[in-house]
Amino acid sequence: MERKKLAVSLVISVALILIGSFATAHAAPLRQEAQPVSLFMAFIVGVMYYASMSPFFANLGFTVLYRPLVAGTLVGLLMGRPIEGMTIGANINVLYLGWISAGGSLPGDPGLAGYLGTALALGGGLGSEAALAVAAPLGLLGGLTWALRMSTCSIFAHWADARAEKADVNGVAKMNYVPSQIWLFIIYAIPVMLAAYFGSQAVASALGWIGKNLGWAMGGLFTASGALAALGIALNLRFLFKGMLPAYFFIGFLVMALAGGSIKLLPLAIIGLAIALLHVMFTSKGEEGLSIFASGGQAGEKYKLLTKKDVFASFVRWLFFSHACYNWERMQGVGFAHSMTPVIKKLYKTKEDISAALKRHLVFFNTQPDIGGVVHGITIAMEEERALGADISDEAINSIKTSLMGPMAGIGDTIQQGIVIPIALAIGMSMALQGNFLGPIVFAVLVAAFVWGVGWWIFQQGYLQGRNAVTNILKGGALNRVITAAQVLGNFVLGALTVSFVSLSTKIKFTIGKTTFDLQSVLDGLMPKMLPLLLVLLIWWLLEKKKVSPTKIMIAIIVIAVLGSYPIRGFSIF
Amino acid sequence: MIRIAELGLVRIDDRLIHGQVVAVWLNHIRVDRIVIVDDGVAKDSFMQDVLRLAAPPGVTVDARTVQEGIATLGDDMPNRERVMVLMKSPKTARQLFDGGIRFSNLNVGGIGAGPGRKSLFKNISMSEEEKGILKSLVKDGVTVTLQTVPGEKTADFASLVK
Repeated sequence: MERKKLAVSLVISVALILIGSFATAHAAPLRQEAQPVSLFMAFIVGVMYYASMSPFFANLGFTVLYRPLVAGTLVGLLMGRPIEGMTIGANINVLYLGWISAGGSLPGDPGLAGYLGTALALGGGLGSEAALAVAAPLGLLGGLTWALRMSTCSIFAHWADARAEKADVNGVAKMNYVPSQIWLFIIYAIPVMLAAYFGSQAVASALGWIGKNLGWAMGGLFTASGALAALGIALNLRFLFKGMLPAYFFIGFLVMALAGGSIKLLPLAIIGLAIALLHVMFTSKGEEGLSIFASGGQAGEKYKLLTKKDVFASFVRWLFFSHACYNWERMQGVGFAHSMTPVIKKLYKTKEDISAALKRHLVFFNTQPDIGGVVHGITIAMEEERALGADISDEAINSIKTSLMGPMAGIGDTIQQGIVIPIALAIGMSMALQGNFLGPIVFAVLVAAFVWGVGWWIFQQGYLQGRNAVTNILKGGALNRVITAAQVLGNFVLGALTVSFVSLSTKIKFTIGKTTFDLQSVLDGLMPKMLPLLLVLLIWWLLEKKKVSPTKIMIAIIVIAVLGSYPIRGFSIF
Repeated sequence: MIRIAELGLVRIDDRLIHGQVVAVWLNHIRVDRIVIVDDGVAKDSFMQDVLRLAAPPGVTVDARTVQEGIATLGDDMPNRERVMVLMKSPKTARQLFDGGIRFSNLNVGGIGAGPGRKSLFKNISMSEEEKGILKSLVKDGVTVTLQTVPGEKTADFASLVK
């Protein structure tokens, strides 16, 4: 029965992805020179999409490869059009700038939009300016595979249980990433391969027909892409428009708009940083410690049975495989047990002890991988004490894990998904848009520095300081100041990005007496880039105050842009 | 008759304050104060520090035992509509309700798998006893909704266990 359900949902998700890519393909605009997608290329695109969700890149899969900026660049490289691919990726990424996946929820799929969207855009001969209109609806389809994955991977957790019963340490580790990754390869790579291969052919053949018969619709999708970027910016503003902070958004916008969009990234980043520092300087009170991560507390006598190498071995397994077998039933439970395997091997020698330790850590666990690593450090220290004979019960270990994993996820998601990734992306995307190939690389380096550097530091502190690490690291309100500074910088950068990425102009003309007014030049006379700014604010208002769903806004933008481009007696709105 | 303001959100979530709550819920509804009702946390000052650190600036966090919670969350509580109530299990929700705390909506956001619990919906697992408690709340007129975060798929508890 279960198997039948699985087969049906797999078939449905393949069919829907195919239909989705055909549907969007048929509405594709702006013919450029198409780059045919061979079956081999399509296969590689599928493999790359799988890789972006796989555990084999030291946590840089989900944080780096999964982002459209990087996806577009990689697909561009594969298809021999690197700069075009990178620009397409950057444009698609605007929509996912404020994208946060918390606690196993997946609101849209940036990876699918990035890999498949770029392949279809290049394969069908779409310009970067129109690619977003095709990629945006694709992103919605990813949720199907996600739901399938989250419910099916529970099976492998039970296989791991069976190995824990037999005290088979390596078996538990393998159950975390071997069966799950074979399965995920099938459900991620194959549907995307098929969609890239057949979808791009459909785009290419449909484009000729559309070009001849529906020339105006192409202009419409061009408009839609420029306007969809406003949705991406507005989604991010929901997190950033707090108190008086929107002022910085307008400053960023005006600096960029008045410079005619030509200002380079470096001066822009320096202005933004200076403003953020000034804000924090003038708003923080008192003489709280200025260091971001206050250290302190007694390191105590550590490394009695374990060595630094053992702790590092545990960290590396967590870094790579935390989400390998992610599922609704245990979430990262199998990943946690896997990360404990080097420690368990070293500390426990009898079959009973090993089996008990494995089972102890195969239970439900879910946190944010980088900041949450402190929990692992604390757990390792407790396991060591226990092996030395201290009276530490299963409940004590389990309760520290379950009580800390939630708050650490809250802090971790705020810092990693809410600050580090969006700011690094904004920097990388601006560089990419100016044709600078370092864009995606700078993004990757910034994220890696955080994920590896901060991740390992916090993991170690957890081991050395025990549970006091949590309060020691975060005390003094320094964290809040960093967050405030990041929010100021975020507002400023998004204001500037509004100028670079959102485009909207009107062709409305009206005649009074004998003079014809061109509405667009009237608006330009007031302020450059006024329509993009108004559009971003309107969408923010709809999202925040009217609670309209992003999907509805996305569809409305595409429909209005296309219909508004339909010429009536030679006149159209856009 | 004076209308009593509804509590902003009443949620069962065994991870209390975490990513979904901080990064999604708090950006979706306006909340000034989080009241955690849990006998264990109310006596654990370390956990209270940690939970306060996890909440964003401008949101105060208080931990209460069930008895204290009943006293705090009553009809005369100021700014009730901007209060988020978090607890770990259906049992606490029932105790609050029996103590006279009125809420017409109950959000179940996450209950981890464990002994005796069976998977019900996404990351929500429940034992038969816990299901029974929620059913009794439904009978008392509470709408029980299973939902991790706004914008994600929801499930109505009453129709799910029918």
